[in-house]
Amino acid sequence: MKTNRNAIEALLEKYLEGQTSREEERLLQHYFRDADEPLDPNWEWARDVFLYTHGEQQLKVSLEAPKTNASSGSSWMRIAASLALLIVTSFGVYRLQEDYQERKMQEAYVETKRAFELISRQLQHAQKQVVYLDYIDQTAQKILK
Amino acid sequence: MNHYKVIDELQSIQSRLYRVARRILVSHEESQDCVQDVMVKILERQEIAEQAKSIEAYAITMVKNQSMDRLKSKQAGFLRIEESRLEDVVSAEDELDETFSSTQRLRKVDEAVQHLPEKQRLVWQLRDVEGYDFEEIESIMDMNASAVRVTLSRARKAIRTQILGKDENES
Repeated sequence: MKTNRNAIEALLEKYLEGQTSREEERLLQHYFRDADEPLDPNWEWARDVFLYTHGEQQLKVSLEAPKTNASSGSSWMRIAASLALLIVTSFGVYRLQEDYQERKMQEAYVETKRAFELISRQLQHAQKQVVYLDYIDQTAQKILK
Repeated sequence: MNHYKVIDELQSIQSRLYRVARRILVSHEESQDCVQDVMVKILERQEIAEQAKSIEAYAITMVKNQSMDRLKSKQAGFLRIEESRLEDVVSAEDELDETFSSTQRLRKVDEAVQHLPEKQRLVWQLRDVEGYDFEEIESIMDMNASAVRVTLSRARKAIRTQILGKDENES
């Protein structure tokens, strides 16, 4: 790649003014990276700068993934887990409620049965009284006759 | 965008985040710490990050802010001393060896960059190393277009001046 000396000079001027495009800067970087050794001493600073930026661009690190997500897992896993929990608990609650209702009904049944027994006992008692009343009535009629 | 996608994206730009942090913080441990902190924050507040135009720009801006904050919080004290001591060592070596090897030349550039005020250093890093567009740099740095260009121009000129060894740092 032959690049006109004047063109490079002009680009460097533009570079220093902060007016070069990304394309032009890339061109400069390539030019100085491949530059043959006896370089114009006026350009040595530029070669150093572009070699340096190229080196910096290669600087890589590999950080550990942030820890916060280890406990949380992916979002769909979390949704699935909470759904499962919801289903299990609501089923449990439903069952409990059913049991409770059954027990309540049993209690109510026993209670009403007892109530009926009481009523019938009272009724029987009352009937006896009525029988007595009838008896009194009959004797009263006999006396009146 | 789901959780794993955000992690992937962050992982793919982690070196870039690290380089920007280190440009300000210098120390490897501190920069690593800063980047991890930012990544955790972004994952915790994923919805906000997703609203941003790009996760990358959002993350870089956070790294920039956080490393500046960290720097400020410990500015008074040992960091300055450490830096100047390092400079002494470097210049002593340079005097010993008249012919610069390529690593020494690169070290000189590094020194020149580290000499820049923080703002210039960051703008320079974002453009000349990370290759961002001017619009991206404007939004990351919260500066207008002409301010970015002026800052970048100052940084580039100051680096050249420093390399050439002239004593006209303030331009």
